Amino acid sequence: MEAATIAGAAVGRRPSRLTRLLRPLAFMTLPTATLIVLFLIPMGILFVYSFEYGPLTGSSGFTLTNFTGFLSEPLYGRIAWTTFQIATIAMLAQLLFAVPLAYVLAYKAGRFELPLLLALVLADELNPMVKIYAWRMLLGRDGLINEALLRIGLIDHPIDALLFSKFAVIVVLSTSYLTYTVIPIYASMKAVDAGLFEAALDLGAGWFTTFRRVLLPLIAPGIFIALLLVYVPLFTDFASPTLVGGTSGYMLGQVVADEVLQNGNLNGGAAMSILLLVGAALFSYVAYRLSRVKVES
Amino acid sequence: MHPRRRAQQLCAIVLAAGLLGLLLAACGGGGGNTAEAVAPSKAEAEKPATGTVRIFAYSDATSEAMLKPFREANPDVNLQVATFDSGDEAAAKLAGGFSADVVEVCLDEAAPLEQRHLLRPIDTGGITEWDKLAFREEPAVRQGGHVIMVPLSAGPYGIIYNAEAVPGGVHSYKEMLSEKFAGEVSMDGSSAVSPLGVAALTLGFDDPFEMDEAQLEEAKDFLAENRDKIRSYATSDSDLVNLFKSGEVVVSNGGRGSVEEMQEEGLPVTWVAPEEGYWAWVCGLGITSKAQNLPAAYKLINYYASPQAQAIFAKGGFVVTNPAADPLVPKRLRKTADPASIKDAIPLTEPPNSTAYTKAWQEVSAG
Repeated sequence: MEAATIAGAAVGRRPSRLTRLLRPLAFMTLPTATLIVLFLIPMGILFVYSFEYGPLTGSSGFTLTNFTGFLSEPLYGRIAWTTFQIATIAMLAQLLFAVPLAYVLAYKAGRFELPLLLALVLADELNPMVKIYAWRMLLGRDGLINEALLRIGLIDHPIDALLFSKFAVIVVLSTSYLTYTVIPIYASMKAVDAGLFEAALDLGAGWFTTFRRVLLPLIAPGIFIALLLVYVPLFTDFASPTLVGGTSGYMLGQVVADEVLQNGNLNGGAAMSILLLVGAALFSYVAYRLSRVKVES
Repeated sequence: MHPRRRAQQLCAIVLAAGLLGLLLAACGGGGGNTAEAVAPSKAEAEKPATGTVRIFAYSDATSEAMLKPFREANPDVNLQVATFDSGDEAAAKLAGGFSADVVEVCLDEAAPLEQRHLLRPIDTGGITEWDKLAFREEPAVRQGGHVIMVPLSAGPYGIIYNAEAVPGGVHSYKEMLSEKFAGEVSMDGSSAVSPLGVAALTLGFDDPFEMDEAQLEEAKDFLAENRDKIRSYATSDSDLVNLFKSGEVVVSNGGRGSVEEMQEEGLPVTWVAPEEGYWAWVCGLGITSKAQNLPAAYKLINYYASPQAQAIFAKGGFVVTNPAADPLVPKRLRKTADPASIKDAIPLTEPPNSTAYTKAWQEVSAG
């Protein structure tokens, strides 16, 4: 009886003022410190660098020239346009493959669902350089695709444009990020009741109408996440265009890499990255609004 | 005030202060010593190195074959190795806080390291073979009257071709960029200087590394006109090897060192000096402004200048700088390892208007 009273008193006792002050700090310290060290500090440094004169300019202090130099140069506008074209086509190509693939995984794969999902994730674990070089072996002049086309007599000469072209950049980019496109769409599909499709069919909707009016609005948040995870990084990718782009397909990611690694202009590279980040934030906002509109409608 | 609110405020203040402090600390950088790196005494220099010494260099200068003898001779030293792909990358990383004691410095890439005060002048009294080394009198070896690097290897840049695919050979850049090899040519695209240098020599300019604005424009137009003939730009030596290996290209501009690597892999490639002229690079080692272990740094540089290490450079197809290495160099490589073999070369130097070079190259790349 006495013990129960003591226990009851202990349970009911209010923590001290100091405990109440320190408890949230204790809970927040580790995640916040991680966030600061791994994310905010590097971002802050990048931000400060972007407003500083480069070490090779002979000037010191803060400046806007890193931004104005980039924005006022028509060459970068041209490269941005090429980048936009390549990234957009690669993103659309991925969605074209990702939506049916996610549909099969979510509704048709049955007992193969988990193994297929794991295979998709494992495929992404391969070193990116190895994947790019594997594509070079496939798309090359003496590669497997040209070889197969020659053997079945569809072509007389190897198709040079398969590799070292914008086409090659699009193919490699599309496949490099496919996992990140499929998984959010798959996750949003798993939340959709398959009975809705039957209901739509019963009401006379064809497969395309069912897809457009039922499935697409419901998976819009998943597509939005996929766009965030994939479309934005496509703009900054430089390994694929460098290794399979040949003399074409020069992209913004390469400009940043060249600025930092060839010119040693960390400040110019930081300014370009900040501008890309601003563009990404704007894009994310628009995509978010669009996905909300879809869901609400 | 409500305790929860006070706790939130306290958290916010602590976080803001921490963030500001870390940001200031991170942006502070600098702090290196740019005074001459005093060489260790003779007695100290004779002892094996101890402690940790960090070398930051191109991968071909830090192969296991190269480092093994040093490790064996200095069993108590912890030799740490990091590699880079360009001098600018090295400068950017060192300026960003990356630590190394010894850094590879090439004469055409020394400017960013110098301008960011990342190097310490070297006390040549601590370099045992200094008076024997070739290229030690090259103007770029000294900055402000101080020696900033010890020249250790060099190499010519010319034309590489597949001798089986092109039995007649390729003799000039003009021929390399003719219709005969359209779609089968690669060009070194790892820096702006290389492709623009090829264009300059083909166009007959005297110094490919001191082009004025009009010449640069002409070189850029030349590369743009010939872009369709080029299969791909090689981004590194290994990329070039892959392009030849996969049969994508049969001819490229490139260094003689790459040929040695390709021949070792069984590729029937040959290097020639093009008729228009050729250039040569000179690289060596310098001591960084943040070097912690000067005795071991000098020990390492002295090892690289030794006949033993120089012979290893020679086996990689490079020109060596210490003539005392000659007896250790395989006979078939003695001619190419001899500094006299590149006496007609144009020294590869950083263009004074390097930003204009990069911009021109970006315009070519952007199409």
